[in-house]
Amino acid sequence: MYQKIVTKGSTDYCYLKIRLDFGKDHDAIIDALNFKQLILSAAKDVFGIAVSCSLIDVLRYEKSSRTAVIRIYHKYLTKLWSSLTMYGNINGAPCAFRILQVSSHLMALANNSRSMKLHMVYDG
Amino acid sequence: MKRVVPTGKLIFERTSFLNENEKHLQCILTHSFNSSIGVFLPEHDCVPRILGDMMDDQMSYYVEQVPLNLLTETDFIKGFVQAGSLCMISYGTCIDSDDCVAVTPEGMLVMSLCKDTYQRCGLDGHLSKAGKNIEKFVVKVDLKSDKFYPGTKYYDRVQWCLSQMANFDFLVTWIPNDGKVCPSSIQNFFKTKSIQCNRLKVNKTNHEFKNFNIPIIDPAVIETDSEQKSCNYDEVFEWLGACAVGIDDYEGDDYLSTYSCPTPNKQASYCIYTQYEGIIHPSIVKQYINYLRQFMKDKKLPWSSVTVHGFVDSPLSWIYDHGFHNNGDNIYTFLMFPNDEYWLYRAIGGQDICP
Amino acid sequence: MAAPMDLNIPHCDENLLKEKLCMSHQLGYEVVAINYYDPELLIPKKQKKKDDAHQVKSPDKILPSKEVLQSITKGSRKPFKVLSRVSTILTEETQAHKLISEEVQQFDLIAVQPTSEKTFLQACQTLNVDIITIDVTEKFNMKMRRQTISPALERGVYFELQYSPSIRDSTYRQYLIANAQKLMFWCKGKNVILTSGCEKAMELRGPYDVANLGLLFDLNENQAKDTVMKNCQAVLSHSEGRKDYTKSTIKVEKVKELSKTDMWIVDKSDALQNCEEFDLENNAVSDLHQFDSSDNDDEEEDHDSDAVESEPKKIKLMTT
Repeated sequence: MYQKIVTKGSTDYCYLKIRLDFGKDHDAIIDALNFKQLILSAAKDVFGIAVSCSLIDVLRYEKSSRTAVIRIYHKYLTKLWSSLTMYGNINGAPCAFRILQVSSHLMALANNSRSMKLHMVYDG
Repeated sequence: MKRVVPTGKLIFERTSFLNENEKHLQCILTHSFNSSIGVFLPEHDCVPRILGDMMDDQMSYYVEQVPLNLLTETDFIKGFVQAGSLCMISYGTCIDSDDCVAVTPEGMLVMSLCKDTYQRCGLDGHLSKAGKNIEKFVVKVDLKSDKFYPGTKYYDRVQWCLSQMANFDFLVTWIPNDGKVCPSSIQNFFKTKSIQCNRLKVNKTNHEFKNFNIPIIDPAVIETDSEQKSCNYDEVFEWLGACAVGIDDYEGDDYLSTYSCPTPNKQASYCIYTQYEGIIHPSIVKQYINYLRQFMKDKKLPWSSVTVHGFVDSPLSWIYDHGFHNNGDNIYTFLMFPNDEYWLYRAIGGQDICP
Repeated sequence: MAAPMDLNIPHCDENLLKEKLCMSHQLGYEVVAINYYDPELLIPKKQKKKDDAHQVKSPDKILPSKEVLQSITKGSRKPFKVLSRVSTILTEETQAHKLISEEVQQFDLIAVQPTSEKTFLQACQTLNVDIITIDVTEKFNMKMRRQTISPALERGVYFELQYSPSIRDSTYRQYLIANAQKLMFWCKGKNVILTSGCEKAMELRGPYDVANLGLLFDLNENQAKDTVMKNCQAVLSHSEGRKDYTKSTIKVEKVKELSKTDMWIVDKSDALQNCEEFDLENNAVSDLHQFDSSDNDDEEEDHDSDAVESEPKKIKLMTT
């Protein structure tokens, strides 16, 4: 009746929460499709098609904050992450991908206590 | 490239609430520092109000600049550590680069200190076991010990050492043993010591799903065979995660995402995911899970799930040292079935020890 | 404490600098160094065409004012420390003497970028600097050998790689990766720090992103994280050692000038000896150095070398 399974080694997938920031004088409307294309071109710039052809799923995208949750293969984590880090401009507008959270569990991205905002009730 | 260290580990257990070891209680109650609780109900359109009420009744506070030696004063130990169940965790401190301090409901003062602070503070501890070659030291002081009172050499030493350390901001919640005592007494205590202490409001997020595919889960089958009558345990966990994150219309575009609901699945007219954020006392989680088990049976739901996220910068994940490499995950999910069986997922960061 | 640090934020005009500092604070850096870069710092005055003496800016001039710092950190309790750093190019061995001058030594950190094999060797072996910069805007063609590098490792001098040029330009990206991998091969992943060297605020990246770049350069997880945390701390300790201790591991300070966090040492020693032999009121010499005869390579980096002044037990620990 009692069963226990512990993952051995790495999990298959890795999930990232990323935000695209622009410099203060620039702004652009990026929809989910553009966002995915940007990720692909970032990966292609640094590592070529071998990495950019691997699985990159945009699971959720919020246009207003340009924040996305993506799913990738765990073995490409370092490569994809660093290619996002080195990506610096879109058509001349300086930008930066901010990696907000990295986890091998999608569930982990539902909450981030590090960026938790406190809402205080001031009584009397 | 060198060997890849896992970014996270998943521990899955399948057992029953009726199991006499009551492992579920151990899992809930030893996971002291919870930053959120999330509930997913399939085929239902709202989460029972009682959870919201419980969250509102639980008083949690943000206390600023607490000198650590206050925590070892007799007033504090007698008045709060021993007379109730206290959860206290330093706020704004990162476990991988700062000193972190917490008090568990069991009355243990746990400090995860950097090498500098550890060498200066002069208290006995051990090297953190979360990860290799990290220079963090864990010092534990049992505040509830009967040998811990003023006058003893050990107490005086601890008191002096703590008084030399910096002040910390804390998130605090306290549940008194005596029901007549008001949980806000702790706020008064800090106020009389002229320390800023404000009440915290819990944050609520809701994700509603309509005409939504949900996986078919058979509590007895955790890994699918060729017949595929029910879903695999890891796919279910990923799917629960997708709901918690609030995945948009996931079966739309193939170019954007290849993710889809695990098979076999069926359509449900309503599903709901509700999450509360704040500092959540483990006993609330326990009460709520007990309530939900009955609720699920009454409403004839196929299953229900409760997810608890621990603070990523907590010095403990369950009873083990906790660290942060790329992430500081310490999460557990109860997937409960009406026949009192449950699946327990525990997701931790790659550097931590499996509970 | 191993807080995330960025030890190279180039000095620039006030507004841009403030923007950069703001961004680095937001990204979670707790210590940053403002880099005053002068490629001609070491060139003797005679050789210069113009007569007006080439003045080195003093650290006070490049550091932002207190008000600016406060406006950056407002509402946050995270510490944010800004240091001064000077860096230059070292083309000829004979120029190095100027590094010892007062105007250079008053900076918190000193970095050189050797351009030839000879000066590279000199920087590794003898120069009293904290950081050796590896140029990432061109291919690193110098021949490296373990013998060249190991004195630097022993002396606690760190190699710096800047990541922001590779954000600006994809050719620099190649050089960064190539040079970094070459360096990592010879120094086995030790004594490396990653810094930004950013020209714009948007070129800054968060500490975890930068640490992840380290993985790309063949470092392992811990080493990668050390490049933005622990190793930078070691650089600071090294510079402190260079400034305050010259060649010692112990320093004597006046009780009045002790920082609050170090007061416990006095409490302890009061209890131990009732201050009899420790009459600090009459002690006029404030910076009396006690020299350590043994070679002080690793010990100099020790974090709490300033925490040992009057506790005999700890001094023993240091010298053994």
